[in-house]
This record gives sequence, C-alpha cells and structure tokens, in this order.
Amino acid sequence: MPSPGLGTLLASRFRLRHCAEVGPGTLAQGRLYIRGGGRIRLGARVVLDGRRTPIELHVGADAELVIDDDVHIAGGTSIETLQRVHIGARSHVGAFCKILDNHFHLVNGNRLERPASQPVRVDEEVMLGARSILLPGAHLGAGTVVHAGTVISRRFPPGVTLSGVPASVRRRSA
Amino acid sequence: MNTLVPTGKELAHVLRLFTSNPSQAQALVNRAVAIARARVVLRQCTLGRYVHVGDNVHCTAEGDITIGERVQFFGGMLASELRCHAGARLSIGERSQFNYGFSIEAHQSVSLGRRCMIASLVRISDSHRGKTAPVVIGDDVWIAHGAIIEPGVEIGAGSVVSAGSVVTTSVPPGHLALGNPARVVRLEALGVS
Repeated sequence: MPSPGLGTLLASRFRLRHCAEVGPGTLAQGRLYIRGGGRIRLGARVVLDGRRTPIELHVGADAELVIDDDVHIAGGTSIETLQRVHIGARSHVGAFCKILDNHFHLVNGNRLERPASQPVRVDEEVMLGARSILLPGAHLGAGTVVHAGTVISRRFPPGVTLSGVPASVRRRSA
Repeated sequence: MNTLVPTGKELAHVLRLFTSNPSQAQALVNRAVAIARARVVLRQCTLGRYVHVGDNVHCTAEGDITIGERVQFFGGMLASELRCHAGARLSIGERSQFNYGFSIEAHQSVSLGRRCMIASLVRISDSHRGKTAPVVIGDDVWIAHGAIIEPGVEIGAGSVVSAGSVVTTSVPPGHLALGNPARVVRLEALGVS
C-alpha cells in the first residue's frame, strides 16, 4: 500500500479526535461513526476504511475498545461494546462484520432489560470474513481464519479455520 | 383564545428546559424531527400516531403499507428499505422497533406483530427464487442482527431468531431459532440469560 499523504493523515486525526490513544500512521477514511463516549485505543498503522460504507464504533461510557497495530477494518463493520473488545495485531476484519459484547436485550424475560456483557477477544493475525458476527463471549486464538457469514459466540483454539452458523471447526492447523 | 400561540409562561418554560437540561431538550427536538420526518418519508403509508423515523429509511409503497402507533425506525449508518409491490400488503404492529440496514419486501403479504424488535441488516421477503408465500411474524418477536426470513415462514409470538440465522421453516411461539438452516429450541430450555 502506498504511504498515505499528509492530508489523509490529518483528516484521519480529525475523525479520530475523540479516541483516547491513536498510534502513528493510523488511517480513518470516509465515514466513521464514533458513539457512546468510551475509551478507544488504536495502535499504529490501523486502517478504518469507511470510504464506500461507513464504520460504526459504539463504545459505552465505561467500556474500552482496543485495536492493536496493523489491523485493517473494512467498510460496513460495526463494533459495539459495553465492556471490552480487543482486536489483536495484524488482524483483518472483513466488510459488514458485527462485533458485539452485549446482547442488549434479555432473551428470556423483560426484553427492555440489558444483560451482563461478556468481553470479546480476537488474537493476532486473525482473518474475519465478510459478514461474520462475533457475539458476547467470542474468543478467537491467534491465526484463526473465519469464513464469510460465520456466527461465533464461544472460545476457539488458535490456528483453526471456522465456518457455519453456529460456527464449527472446518480445519485444524498442522 | 388562540391556543396555538404560546403564552409568555409557556415560552419561559421551554427556555428554562433548554438552558437547564440541554441533553433532554436535544432529545425532545430530535424526537419531534423524527416524527415529522416519518410523515414525509412514509407519506404513501397508512401511519399511526408518533411513528418515528431516525434517518436513512427508504419506502416504496405501490401496495398497501400499514404502520402502527409508536413504531420506531432508528436508522443509522446503513440505509433501510420498506418495499411493497402493487397489490401486496405490508403491515407492522404498534411499538415495533427497527435498527439500521434492514430490508422488508412484500410481493403478496408480510405482517409483523406488535412490539417486535428487528435488528440491523435483517432481511424479510415473501418471494424468493420463484416461491411466493406470506410471511407472518407474531407479537414480541425479536429478530437479531443479519437474520434472513424466507417466504412462507410463520414466527410465533415471543420467539427469538438469533443473529445470522436463515429461517426456512416456521417457528412455534416461545422458541429460539438459530443456525443456517435454522433449527428450533424452546426458550424455556435455555434458562435465563
């Protein structure tokens, strides 16, 4: 990728002005919605590509979103956290992914009540396919490959390939 | 006495609200704008009172769209679509809520019950690959992010469709549908969560 121009970097800084930490060379292009007022920590050389479809980062007041170095997030992705979401270094989040650490409504009982959050963690070098969904409690180990459209709500060991709704292991690493 | 002209007392009350609690005043203004926006965006539909359109909702009503009282379309980062073809019916019960990016299309008949919750990127259509059959969604149904409801599906009252599911068969009341294709589990069997 060609190195971004000064104007692009300055525009990115402006779009990310409410983030608690922004590493060097981090880019936010196009439309980026930041809501909720929580802490957002972005590492170095992160790319948030909202040029075609916007990206939404909803971080609740006491919540924290951590995105490590060299992460690429494609357009249409929405990350909503009320506690903590961590995306490890060199991971790739595909287009129209949804990452949630809270269901926002009780499945059984009063739908207007909010359940407890379960943090979501994505380790290093994970490839998330387009339209995949990470639900509360999802934890992907390093080097995981997630096929498009997969729905994940639990912990998986590192280095596996996942697909399906709900997710199942398609291949284990050698 | 002309009641449309606010008295000094009323004006003072509004002014006090705006200065003492700006965030609440902002919310009130946003709500008024959203209700007015609904009258414009959904002008081809039969609307109940206080229908709320946040942003980014597109409506094509060649057929008959009925939207109940206090239905809320929150809108957001992706555009949503309501589409009703000629001769078709699309009805939405009162107090239902819709997140961003959903798409509902009726060729024949789609009906949603009261107090439904439709999450982002949900797709509901009653016609797909040559099959056309009405879709009926009961009261208090919650359809989570990215779920797809296929033609001819009936979802019973109080059921939940989990995120990313593709629902091809009917769901009885009080059940959770999950997977692609969706299988059904009794909600009571899950315990409270």
